[in-house]
Amino acid sequence: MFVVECKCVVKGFAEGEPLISDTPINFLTMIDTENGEIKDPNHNLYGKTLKGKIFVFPNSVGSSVGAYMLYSLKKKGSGPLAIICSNRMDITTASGCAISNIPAVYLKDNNLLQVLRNSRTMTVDCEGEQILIYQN
Amino acid sequence: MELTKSEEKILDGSEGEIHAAAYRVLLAIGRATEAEKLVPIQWAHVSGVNYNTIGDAGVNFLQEVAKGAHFKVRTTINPMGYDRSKPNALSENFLSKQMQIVKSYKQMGAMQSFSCTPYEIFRLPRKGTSVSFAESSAAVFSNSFLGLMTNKESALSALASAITGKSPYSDLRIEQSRTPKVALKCKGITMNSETDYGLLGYLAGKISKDSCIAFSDLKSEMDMMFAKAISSGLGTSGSCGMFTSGNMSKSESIAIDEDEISKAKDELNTDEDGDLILFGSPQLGLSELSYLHDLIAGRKFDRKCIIFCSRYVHNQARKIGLASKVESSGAEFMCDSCMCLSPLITRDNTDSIITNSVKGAYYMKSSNRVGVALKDMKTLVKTYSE
Repeated sequence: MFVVECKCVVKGFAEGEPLISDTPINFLTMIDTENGEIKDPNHNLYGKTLKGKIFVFPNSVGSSVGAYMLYSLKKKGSGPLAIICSNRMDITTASGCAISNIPAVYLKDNNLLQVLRNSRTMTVDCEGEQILIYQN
Repeated sequence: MELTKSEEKILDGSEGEIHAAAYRVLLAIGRATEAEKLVPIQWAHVSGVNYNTIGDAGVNFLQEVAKGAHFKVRTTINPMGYDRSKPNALSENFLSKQMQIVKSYKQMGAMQSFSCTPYEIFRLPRKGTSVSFAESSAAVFSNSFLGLMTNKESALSALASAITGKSPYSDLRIEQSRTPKVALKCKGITMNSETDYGLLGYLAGKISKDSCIAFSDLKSEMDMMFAKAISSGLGTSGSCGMFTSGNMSKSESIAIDEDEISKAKDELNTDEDGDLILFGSPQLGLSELSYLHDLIAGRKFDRKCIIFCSRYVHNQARKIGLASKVESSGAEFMCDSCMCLSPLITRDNTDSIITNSVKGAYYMKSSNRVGVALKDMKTLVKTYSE
């Protein structure tokens, strides 16, 4: 087990499988709020869903309305368990998570993303500002 | 982030759940941007008005918020889904949901601006004033050209600031953070049209990881049309909220070439041609309308052409006779709304559109799912009018 340090933005606790995006996310154009699927055909996670996953991405980009997409996902039961931003926690993601009670953290050092890649499951402990990584 | 005692009380619910939720949002974005405290803002511009973007969850959410909150500062709002003065073929459901959204914002005290270019309509505060602008193109424009101070806010963070009159003192609200660390060198790149400026902004947004970036080869004085184009391009692709122009000797530089611009263009320009011409993302102002009028010079468009602009700008143009002159080309005005996620343009009624806007091209392609031919206004008028 590894421990990765993080900074807390929205409090909470979540345990589950990660879904890792290497590229930034535009929540308005890339995510289907009905089922949490990544609907952008040019995205490398096209067709995968963030529903029930710990969604890891660098930061969100583009539309300011993206915050409402996180809220819609949560209302429809298609939201992520938690969010980890590997580059920086942007305002769209932070505000969307705050209104939707989705635990949200960002990595202190984005090189730590490599450690996250090696995990099948992880625990995001926002209060303790740490992510516990399990390899099997 | 430290809250004052009175702020803590509101967070704990002394003024009700809506105000507490607004403070929870401010606390989260304060933590995200490592703010020390909250500061007053003088103007909030809120996005999340078009039913096509926020959906049923948004409609119900705003209805609840409106029951428990009233805006503390001047609050303007983004475009909605259609032009209120024109008939349309939208469903009863769309119309009633859209009207509910408008009602909620009105109830909270928003100005009925329905514009993504509030800086062209309302009196501007002094340079250095803290504001909270959600519309990405307006945030970038206001930081970069007007000296206003805002982070690249979200629909919900600007809403929280409208309710509380406060925003975290962080990032682009602090003078020292407004100096870019990275400069883009764009020497040798063709910069003739608004579309070129839009593409440069779009590419820069993809490259930049910071909230402010420099263009070392651009002059800080630029045509209003170019300024709006580069701001909206930057806001579309990135998380960057500001740019500066001119040589920044202390910053790290990255050179970009024509190839990268072409790649960005290829990504957006999916079709050679289209059956509908769209102008106005951001909504056109008087300067762009008069430029369009000069280009048309008595010609007529050979296909349908829609111009999105705010009702305010449209009324001004009407008063001075510019609107009717532009209309004589066959183009029609569409107020209160914007091409991005317009419910009026879908794959069912349109195969592909032609636009000069990089932001418009991006949303038409990825959200409205129609083909796009990206051409600057001059080329477009020349090609599609006679």
